[in-house]
Amino acid sequence: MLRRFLAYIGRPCADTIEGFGHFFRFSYQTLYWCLRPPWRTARLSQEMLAIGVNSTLIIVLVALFAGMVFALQTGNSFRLFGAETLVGATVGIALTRELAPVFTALMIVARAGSAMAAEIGTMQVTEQVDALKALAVNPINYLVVPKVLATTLMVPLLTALFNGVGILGAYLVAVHLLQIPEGPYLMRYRDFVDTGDLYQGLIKAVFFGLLVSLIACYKGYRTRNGAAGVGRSTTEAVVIGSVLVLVSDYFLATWLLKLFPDYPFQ
Amino acid sequence: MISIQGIKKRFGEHEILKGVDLEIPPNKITVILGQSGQGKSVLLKMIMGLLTPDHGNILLQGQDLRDLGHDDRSQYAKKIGMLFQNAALFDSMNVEENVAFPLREHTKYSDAVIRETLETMLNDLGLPDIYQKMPAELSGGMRKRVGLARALVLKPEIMLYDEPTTGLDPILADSVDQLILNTGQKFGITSVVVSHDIEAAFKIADKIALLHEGVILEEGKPEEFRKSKKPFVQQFILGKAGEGFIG
Repeated sequence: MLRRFLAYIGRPCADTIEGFGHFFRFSYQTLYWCLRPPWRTARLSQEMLAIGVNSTLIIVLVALFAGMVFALQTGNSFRLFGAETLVGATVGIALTRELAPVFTALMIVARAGSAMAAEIGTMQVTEQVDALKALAVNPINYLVVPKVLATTLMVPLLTALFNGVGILGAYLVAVHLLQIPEGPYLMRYRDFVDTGDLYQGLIKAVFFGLLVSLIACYKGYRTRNGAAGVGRSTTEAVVIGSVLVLVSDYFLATWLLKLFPDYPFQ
Repeated sequence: MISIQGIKKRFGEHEILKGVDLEIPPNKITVILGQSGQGKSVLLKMIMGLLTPDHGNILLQGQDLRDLGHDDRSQYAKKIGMLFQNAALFDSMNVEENVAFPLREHTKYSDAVIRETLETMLNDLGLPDIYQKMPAELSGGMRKRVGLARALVLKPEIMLYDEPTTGLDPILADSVDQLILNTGQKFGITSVVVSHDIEAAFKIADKIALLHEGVILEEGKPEEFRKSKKPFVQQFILGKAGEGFIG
């Protein structure tokens, strides 16, 4: 009985441990090739355009409506306690610390992470990755490093954009729709939101960019079994990437709250 | 030139190669024949350095592939060109970018020199005026020739062909066979062709080897191979399924 149970759980456990091993080896190789020539600046620019610049519109849209709905909900709730002037501070802190980096990372997973996994996966199953090796070009250096670097650089920039647009959306709803007085609204915002909040969000954004791009590229690189395999890799890249953004956010938040202890509510 | 010694390779429970020994002579065309799933492409990928054998050695001019460091391996790869079964063209690049890719990666040639080199190469292979076409717009034969141009553009010493005529009509297949023959003669290249096309093998090969059940069952010059006394070799040459093969 025990033997059968161990046999039943043994294989999935061994596969999971092996999977972690492959992922960490892949991440090490990516880091190694980040620090080693050839530096592919043209490929990096292409990827920054595809991952970052081309995501601008969707980030602006999501940020605007996230800020607006957050202000609408908090404004109506806080009004019950006569604390509606705190809407700006609440939205500002929530956006800069949590919503902007997390939403941006989730948008990048959905838009760029899936594309990365599908592109590399298709190249893998059609032997284009082998062709790169046969032409004495390291596929990690050529395919993976530009994508990982571009995502790690662009997610913080998009997060900063998310912050700006989200705060603007919240301001428009709070001041012009809910008729919250502009002076106290802005003063509360200035009192409670500081650069520490911004840094926390941006540090998270760097980590999320690195994490989601490594997962997406890894899933693409390990693709086997043709078109069905590409579909599976793409789905796994999005699901695992999204879940890990949310899980790691908690642990990062715990660490960052210790790193920036001058938060006025503590 | 290439010495394959006691190569074994296993994927999971299935041992594909069970001790392959083969000498590939320089400046000749060697055809490795075998049924589908016998590990011919695996063997070719090991020569290319894309797969590592579980056991045994592959020596190129006396140098063991396992002893090569990263930079030496890169130099080794530049000496070998490979034509993949489906050409493996980079589908995000047009023909010009595909063929110029190795030159841009490994040489400091100016754009003008690169353009001239690939024009010569594509004309030699009967592919003028298709520079801007994407791989998806090309026929199977054209894709193979563009793949061959990309593999040859760095002037390799060895060319590896993985099932070069699979999926082509007889006329196109014959033109690819001629291409392999001409390429070998024109550039003085050592060629290794993996195929199950027995007719093509007799047409182009200087040496034929038959891979069967994980070992080289027979090898020799085409006329020696044809006269082999081994029943499976004769069965393969005649293309007969044998009893119990179906049903």
